[in-house]
Amino acid sequence: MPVQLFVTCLVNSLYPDVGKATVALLERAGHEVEFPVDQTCCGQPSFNGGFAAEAKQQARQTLDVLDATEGPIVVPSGSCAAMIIHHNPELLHDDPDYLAKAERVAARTHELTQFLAADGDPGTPVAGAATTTYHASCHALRWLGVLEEPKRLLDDAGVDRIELAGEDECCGFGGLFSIKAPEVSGAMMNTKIDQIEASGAEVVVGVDVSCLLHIAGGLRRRGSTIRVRHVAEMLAGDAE
Amino acid sequence: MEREQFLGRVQAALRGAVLPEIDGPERPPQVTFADPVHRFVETAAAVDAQVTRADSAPEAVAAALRLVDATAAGQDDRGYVAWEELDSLVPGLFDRLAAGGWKRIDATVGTDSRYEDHGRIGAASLGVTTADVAIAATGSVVLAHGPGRPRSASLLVAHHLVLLPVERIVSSLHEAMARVEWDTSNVVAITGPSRTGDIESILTLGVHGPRHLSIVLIG
Amino acid sequence: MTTFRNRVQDAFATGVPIAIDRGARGHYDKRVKAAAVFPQMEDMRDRARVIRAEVIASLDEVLAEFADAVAARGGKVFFAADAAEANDYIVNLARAEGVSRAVKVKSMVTEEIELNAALEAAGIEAVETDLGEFIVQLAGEKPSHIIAPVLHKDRYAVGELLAEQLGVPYTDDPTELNDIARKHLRSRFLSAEMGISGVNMAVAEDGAVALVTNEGNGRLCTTAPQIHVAVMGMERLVRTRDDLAVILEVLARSATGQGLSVYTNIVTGPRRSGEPDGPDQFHVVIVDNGRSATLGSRVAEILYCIRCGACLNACPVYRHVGGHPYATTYPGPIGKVLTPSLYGLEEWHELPATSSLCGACQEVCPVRIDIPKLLVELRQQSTGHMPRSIRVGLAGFAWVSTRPRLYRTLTRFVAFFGRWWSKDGWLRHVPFLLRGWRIDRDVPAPAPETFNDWWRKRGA
Repeated sequence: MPVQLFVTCLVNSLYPDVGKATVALLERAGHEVEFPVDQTCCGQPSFNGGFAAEAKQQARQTLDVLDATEGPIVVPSGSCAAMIIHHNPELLHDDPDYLAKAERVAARTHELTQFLAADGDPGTPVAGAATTTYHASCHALRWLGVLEEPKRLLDDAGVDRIELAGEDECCGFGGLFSIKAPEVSGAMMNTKIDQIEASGAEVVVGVDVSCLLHIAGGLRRRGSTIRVRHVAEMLAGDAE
Repeated sequence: MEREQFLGRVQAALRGAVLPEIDGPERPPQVTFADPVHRFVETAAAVDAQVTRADSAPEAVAAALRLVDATAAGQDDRGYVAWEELDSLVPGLFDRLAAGGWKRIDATVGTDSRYEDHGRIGAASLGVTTADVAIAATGSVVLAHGPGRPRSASLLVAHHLVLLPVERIVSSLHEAMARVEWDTSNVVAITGPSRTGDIESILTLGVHGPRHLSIVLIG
Repeated sequence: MTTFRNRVQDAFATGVPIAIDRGARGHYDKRVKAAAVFPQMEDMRDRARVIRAEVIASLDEVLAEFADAVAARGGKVFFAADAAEANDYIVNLARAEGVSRAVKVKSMVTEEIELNAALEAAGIEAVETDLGEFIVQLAGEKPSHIIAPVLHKDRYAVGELLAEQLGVPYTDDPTELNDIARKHLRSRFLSAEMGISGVNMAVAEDGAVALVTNEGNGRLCTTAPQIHVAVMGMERLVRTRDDLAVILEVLARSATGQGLSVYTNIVTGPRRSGEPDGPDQFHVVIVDNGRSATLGSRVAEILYCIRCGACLNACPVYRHVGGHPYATTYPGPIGKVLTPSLYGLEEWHELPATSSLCGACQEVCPVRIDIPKLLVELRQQSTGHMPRSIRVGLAGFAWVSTRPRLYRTLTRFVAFFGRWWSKDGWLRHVPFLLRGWRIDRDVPAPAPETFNDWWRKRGA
């Protein structure tokens, strides 16, 4: 059975390398990867912002595309996976047709590292990887329980991983929050970056590019040499 | 607002309330310990109570006197308030206190002489009580107030001394709640001496209530 | 009124006291430790949620039962529709009984109704007796945390304040500061004619109110004065003693990491004949003040709250800004839902937006209130207040999202032209909407080729 890749709008436009690495990992694990080309945005930014009508439009589009496919749906983003798994059924509770679709699609959807971990991915050693630390993205952690899976995958791949103090503290992104309250958001990000710098890691990894772009933007502003990578890139050996 | 009008507003609101489905356990989990007495000794010590064990009532009196003397060392004002039933629970305690220079203060507050009475009772530095039940899970002693059982004995004093038969120790707060008689105006569960962390979360003892809580277990 | 953002900017400009982050994290860590040594914690939380849910769902009946039980034990119940009714009742009672001084136990509901101001206006001295609240009152400030009101001050600031206000020698030793407050307040306890408390939880079947404090001021206020007035939000009820035990099991553990607070004080009426001490009168003032509107709304779940403060301690926003920029009685995650629902979303629409929806609050809530969901609900009701650029932008993006061919064309267009706007993968010029971002972050540029295009070339 094929695996459907829901790549997310941010990966599509900003970080296609994360998508490529995801394809490589899934194929390496023996899956046939399909990419439904009509996918767009899952609607999470609208949903979180309180724009229910817009979120519903995007959710219906996503569900139409994904429900027409078969096999597990894999998402290299904790927050978009949480949108599809948890928030779509909530959002569409008064729309019987789409509620059924939302529940079918939710049941087939997996965050990437949880999918790989359940798959028993043997882990291909990553050569010469730098000291790495893991930031737990909030939605992946609290809505999906993603924490041990990415760490185990990194460890199995022989990545030199050190724990991050305050790994479960929000980086301050929060989509519209960072636009509406940039000072608080920035303060949260700076705390996170202080923690990352204090860890001594050369690379910080996560499972959600939205948090990662926020952290990367702050690190660059500081002139830091710490690199930011998605777990998929690390596992696929694209750490540089 | 009149009661019926107020409740009518609540009823009307309930008709429009959007509430999650109620889904969960019908009973709380059980909290039980194989050896509640042992557990109590640990938990009470952990909340800064001083726990002493005595095999019999006479031993308890002796232990109580040692605690009282140690805490009041160098102190001239030796007034105390006590629960009346201690006379039968630990016979001889009041006499021994008197011999040690302790003067028992009447803790009764009159309706018309409340503030004068407060002046008298406020001079006591020691309060002696028993407890109706004690909780092993948290190291708490539970006191139901009533005739002969002034609240001030566990409240206004610097040192609160509790003489507690061990068979009154139960595992959990639930058991304690079930056992205590609420046919009174006030029940209190006391878990260690008065404390605060209000200033920079730095622990200090004895804010408004007693700074010292001693518990003598009997049996 | 200033905006939350302005107030945060001001707070950052003057420097948010480090004590806030340290204090909040300290409480948070204690909660984690307390839960770790109490294996029943998760099941107890589940049960606590059910208890609160059932009470809220039949609140009218539970309130009636409670009021009857209080009366049966010789107490008086007053139902207050709003703050003014509650304050009037208490002020009139104080006047009728010749009260010149009232001692108070820290209580959020009396902060909410601004009872102290009403008493002072009537010439009645109101003395806060919780150490932290006493300090806040001396400083003429507002509490910054619902259980640790003076979290924003360090001991040096407290030392200076007491020296200045009470004329005592300066000290920054917490034990000495504590002794100063104890001595100062003791005479006030013993001479006040009225004690005023809040209610942590009331028990309907017994007509009892439970008050938890660590210092003992709660017991003093409800014992020494001849009149005890307990003020409670109308939702602060459980049905039975057994249910009270469940709430107490999770309350202190969540708040301060204690198994129980030092004094769990259960008041079951005025003193009875033969009892040596206790108040001669017991009054309960049950306050609506916006709660019935909240109950009738889509965020009624917020009324499950037992005011432990755990969500404040867990909240990264709270840790960074403290309680004051919220400009409301109830700061932090709980306040972001409660404040707009009690006082109106029109005025308070900003608060629900000031969350990253990280979910740390829900994770620690002893009654598992889905705060992120309630925040999203309030955001849905206030999108009109979002900047026009965001509204138009999101609507446009959603419209494009439902047209996959157009979406592909536009994202390809952005990828193509992105090279002119960027350098080394970062935007050279930040769009106006993201101007706040520029303060401390760079903004990534679109990649030169979308994943979608890469995939199609790969297949070709």
